[in-house]
Amino acid sequence: MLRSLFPSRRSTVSFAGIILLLSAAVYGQKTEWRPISPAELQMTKPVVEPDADAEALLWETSIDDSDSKKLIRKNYVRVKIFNERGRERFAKFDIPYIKGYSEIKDIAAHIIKPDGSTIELADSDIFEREVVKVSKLKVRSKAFAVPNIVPGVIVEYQFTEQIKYGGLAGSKLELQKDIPVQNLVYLVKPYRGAHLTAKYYNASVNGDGFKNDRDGFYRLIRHNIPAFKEENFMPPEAMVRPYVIMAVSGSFGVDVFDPAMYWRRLGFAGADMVRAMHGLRKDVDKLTEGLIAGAATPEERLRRIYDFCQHKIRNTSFDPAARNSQETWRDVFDQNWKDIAKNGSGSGSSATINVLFGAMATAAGFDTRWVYASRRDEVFMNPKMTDSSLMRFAGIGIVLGGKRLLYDPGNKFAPFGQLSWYREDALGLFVSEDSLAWTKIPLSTADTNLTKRTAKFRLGEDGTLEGTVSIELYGNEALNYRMNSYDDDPTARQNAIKDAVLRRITNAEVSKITIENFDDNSKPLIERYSIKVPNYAQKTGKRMFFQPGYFEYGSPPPFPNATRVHDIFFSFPWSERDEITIEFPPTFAIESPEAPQAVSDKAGSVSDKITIEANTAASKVIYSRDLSAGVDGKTLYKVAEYSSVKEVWDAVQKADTAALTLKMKE
Amino acid sequence: MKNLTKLRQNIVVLSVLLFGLVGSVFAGDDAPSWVSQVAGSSIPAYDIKNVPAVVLLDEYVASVDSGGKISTTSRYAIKILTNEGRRLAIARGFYLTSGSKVTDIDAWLLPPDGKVQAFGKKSVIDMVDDPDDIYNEGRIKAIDATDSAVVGSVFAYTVTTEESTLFYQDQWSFQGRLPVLRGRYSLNLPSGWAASSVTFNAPEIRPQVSGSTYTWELSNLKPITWEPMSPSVGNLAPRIAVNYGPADAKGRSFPDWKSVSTWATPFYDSMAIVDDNVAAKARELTANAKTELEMIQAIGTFVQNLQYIAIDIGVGYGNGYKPRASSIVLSRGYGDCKDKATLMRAMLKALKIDAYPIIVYSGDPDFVREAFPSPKQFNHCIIAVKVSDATQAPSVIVDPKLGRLLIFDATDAYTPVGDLPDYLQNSLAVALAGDNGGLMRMPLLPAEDNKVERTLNVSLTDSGELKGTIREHSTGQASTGERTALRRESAADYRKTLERWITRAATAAKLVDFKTTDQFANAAFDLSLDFTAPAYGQLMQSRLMTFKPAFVGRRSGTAFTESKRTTPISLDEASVIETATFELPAGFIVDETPEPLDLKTEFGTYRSTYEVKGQQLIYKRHFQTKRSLIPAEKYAEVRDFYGKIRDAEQSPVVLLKK
Repeated sequence: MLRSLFPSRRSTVSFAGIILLLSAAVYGQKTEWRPISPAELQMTKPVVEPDADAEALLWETSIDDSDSKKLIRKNYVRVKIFNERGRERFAKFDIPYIKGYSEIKDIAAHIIKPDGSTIELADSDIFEREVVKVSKLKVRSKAFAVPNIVPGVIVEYQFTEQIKYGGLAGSKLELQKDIPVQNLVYLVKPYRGAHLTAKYYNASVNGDGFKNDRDGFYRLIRHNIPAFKEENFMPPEAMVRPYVIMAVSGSFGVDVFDPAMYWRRLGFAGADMVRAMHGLRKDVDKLTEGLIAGAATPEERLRRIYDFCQHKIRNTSFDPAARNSQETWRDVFDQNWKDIAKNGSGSGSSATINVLFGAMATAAGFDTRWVYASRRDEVFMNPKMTDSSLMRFAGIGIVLGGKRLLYDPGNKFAPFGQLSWYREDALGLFVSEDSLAWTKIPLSTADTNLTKRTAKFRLGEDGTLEGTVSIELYGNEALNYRMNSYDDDPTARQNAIKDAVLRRITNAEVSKITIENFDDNSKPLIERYSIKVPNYAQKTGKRMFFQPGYFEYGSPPPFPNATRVHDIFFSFPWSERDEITIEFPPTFAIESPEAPQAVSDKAGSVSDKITIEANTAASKVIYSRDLSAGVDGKTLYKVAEYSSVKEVWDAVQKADTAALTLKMKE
Repeated sequence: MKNLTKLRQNIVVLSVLLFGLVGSVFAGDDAPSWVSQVAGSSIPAYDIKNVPAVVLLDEYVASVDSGGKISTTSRYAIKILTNEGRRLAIARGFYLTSGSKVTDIDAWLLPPDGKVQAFGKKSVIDMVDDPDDIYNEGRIKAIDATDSAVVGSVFAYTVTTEESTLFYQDQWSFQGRLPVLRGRYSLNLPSGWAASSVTFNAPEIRPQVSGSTYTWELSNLKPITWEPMSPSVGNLAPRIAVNYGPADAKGRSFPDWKSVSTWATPFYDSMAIVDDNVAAKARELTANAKTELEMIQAIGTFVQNLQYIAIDIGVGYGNGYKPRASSIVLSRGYGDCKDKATLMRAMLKALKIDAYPIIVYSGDPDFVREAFPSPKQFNHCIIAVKVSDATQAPSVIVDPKLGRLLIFDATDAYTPVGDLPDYLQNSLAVALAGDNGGLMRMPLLPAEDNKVERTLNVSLTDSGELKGTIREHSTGQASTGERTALRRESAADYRKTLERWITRAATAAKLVDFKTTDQFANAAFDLSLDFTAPAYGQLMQSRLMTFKPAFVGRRSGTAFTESKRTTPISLDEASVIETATFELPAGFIVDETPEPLDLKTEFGTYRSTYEVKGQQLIYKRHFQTKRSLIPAEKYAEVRDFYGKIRDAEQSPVVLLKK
């Protein structure tokens, strides 16, 4: 079974970001509309993408940071509507703002018919409303519907947004919109003529970046940009969607695009944390000493500390009743550590548990580090990406035998030595009191992330399959399962198992579902259930046909589409081992059981081997399947490789769903 | 009313993100005695697993004064039984900026550890009810305690409101999907006023009357679980409809359906304004129309393609029942359902064709009940066009007073004139035609008018490759489904949908080409698709080849996965006819075909046949259902029907090498 990566969203949400998502804006003091060409008016087909619903002829955003008291963002957009979907997208606007913080002005919109005549938005068409009010804070919005919008017209609109004390530095400007754009223009004016620096991601600029323009503005123009589209198994959006990050000289006191300088600043903050953590050592010295007494190796000492922190301290981050989403680092360090040390137990958040682990490891004599790390479900990080929001506290680093190791006992379900999949193969910044070092966090192997599935079935003469199933999850498979469902009730977890079966086999009757070892991360997570599937085998007059690969029965092909836009990304290497025993009726004989041919790709990253052992005398078939994927760490494929990736996975699915024939004995 | 929409929840989340945890929570406060009292209720065991919460008390008290002003107090308490139930710890009170207000809202959380948390004014979020509307006076005051709630907590709130009522009528449902220990609806009336009620979905609930206070109450209501193809909760949960007022409550109470028509008709009539622009547009649109039906089609198509935009102002004063003037709707080019119906009516009027607005309930054809004449039962507006005998269409009905009427929904852009969305078919609705108006039943279009005819012409090679063409001709609501998919999805996504459809049948199938033809005016849609599917036929021992002749399934499946059922099953009129002709590979003969299947039930039929003609296998299947509401007791029969079809369609044909 393949895992899909759903592109994650950044956890921090800025209001400016919300406005950008909800709106598309323009400029104009007294509703001045720019000239429009006959070709634009008469245009009947999109230029950038042949099947586009709407296409922006111009999408211009002007950002003026010259006034220290406000940031002015003016938007001017001209869109040709080609069909109903395009009309739906641009028929109404709802532009939110926070009263007292930002302001929306100079809204104007009209439609231009192919004959050049226009219908203007009237003042009475614009509605102002309070979207939400909490205490004295109010989110308001200006909303309007574009009059007489129909396929074939051009919609043109503009508005200005003023943000009190807003700044250009750190702004993220999209270089690809949700619709195709013929001309994408950004005009930016930094504060009092400061030097502008732009860093481009997922875009090749080749000298066509921001250039000096009039009145202190810099201008960037991009042409004929297709719409951004999401796909299954694609890398994180930040790795495929082009954007530019703005900075101005003097904005941070240093040149933010000198990576070494930039990360050193983050290192200073990390060093303070390390010092604070080391300061706790005296509180936990005795506790640590007792805990590691008699441990033979450094690893054993670490394991004992890890297990203590993870199991003896109640992790409040995993408890809805005790979770504190407002916790600060001050709260973490202000814990009563002496009480924890005295009692040998206590409670704390994930961060607290990690800090405790760091303090105890320090007390045990380990060389400890504060570790910031990226998440591979957000970004494939490199140090040139000078964005500290991409590197967040990830746990405690230990330098042992020349190796930098990362531990995260604050993750309740991660056993010693394991991290969440998105930390694997990610970049970590190990910070000590006086140094910092980049380290690539190791990726686990396919064998580690194993799903071991066993089934014992009987096939009746009427084609009914009945028996028991056991599924054992190891490594990331187990950790993911636990992380995704710890907030669910036991019944909900059981229902999820049942639903997963029913999605594949709609007439299955699933019962006696159990889940073992959910809270014991030292053991594999085990699901067990009984199942009965009427008419699992298809019958004809003399024969029965059945798919011995029960676990892949009814699974859809992972790559159904012929073409693809983005690279293909699997979260981590994994493997599956299936062993299925099926007893069939003695009145039938199996007809020359042939195992499907083994499947593998050229590099050996994916392989699927099936063996079928038939014992006619015992009326029994033993089906074994051994699938590995991401071997040698190959989890990312270029889009150019799509046809070969699809071919392999189609072949895997074909092999997995092959049928056997039973013939009635004469 | 009991559930916040996702959008509203997003606003709550946005509020929390923007402003931090909303307001202050005071721990250690006392809860009111009624909360402490209901918190101690014992919870029965339910057959359904994983019930997220149980409603301990759902009480609504309305006090009416002689001027028609109403003060209401809601008291609501739930016990949270699962983690999923935590999201239900939200208090809410609805109001309109015109004509009503929430005067107070308070909430309490009683966690299992007993420390009461009280949520006061600073915790209140005031937000729009429907963020999708350009403007809507409906607002919600809410208190969100989901962050603090844990399993075992009791969450309780009170909301008090004041409003001026338009009608001396009300409706009250005693439950949503959650089980309810006690539900109570009370009405305090001025002296000399009286109340009466009708009960739906349950035996009659009689009120307890004390002076001029009427109280309806039910206890120990079991949960209503979600099941596929079941009626809406509004058709399952016990509910009452109440009429009250003084003896001469004219205009605020409705003794019969005719009075609903006479009350609402002027609102619509006055807005169907035929000015020069409306008349000119009507003439322009129908310039080439030769028949009455073509004129209606031309106007209908224009109106249904106007953008749907709702702007609700003055709802509290009754404007929710009034459309905007047709002249304005035309000039702005957008409107809501009643705006569209009114514009269409005005344009038809300019062409000397009479039409009437129809108010109807969208979402459940069985929701409206004849026993409760009231405009409050409806949420949608469509149109009935008076037509001559020359106009023939499936959606024409005959009304004893109004004559032949063509029913049309000008809001649904995918269902043409002559057809009607399935969610409106066979429902009760009111024609607003003054004294001649009243309750009528919308047409039910037969399965024959709602059909998919599929033809496969395919060939199978000796390596098992299948290639050929699938053609589908859909009519009626089946064509609406196809049209909706084509128009709503981008061209690339529509192609992907088709690719998924055929790769579900054969893993490595490739879509070679496809073509769609939308005959919108005829309520028909054609899809033609060329494909190849390598190794569709499975070769065994080099002498056998098997393949399933039921190559593709429906694009939306029907899955009765549970062995038991508690709610009735609601089926629609539908018909699928398929003829698949397989050219078999040379050198192979048909060794076995599955048994033909012939099913006949009171709600549907299915027939499949196999015929071998030389090197051709001709496979036919015909599936048909009719609009039915089948009691849960007959679930096994329904499941068996669909199960046998599924099994038959999984069965292979066996070819033998000569």
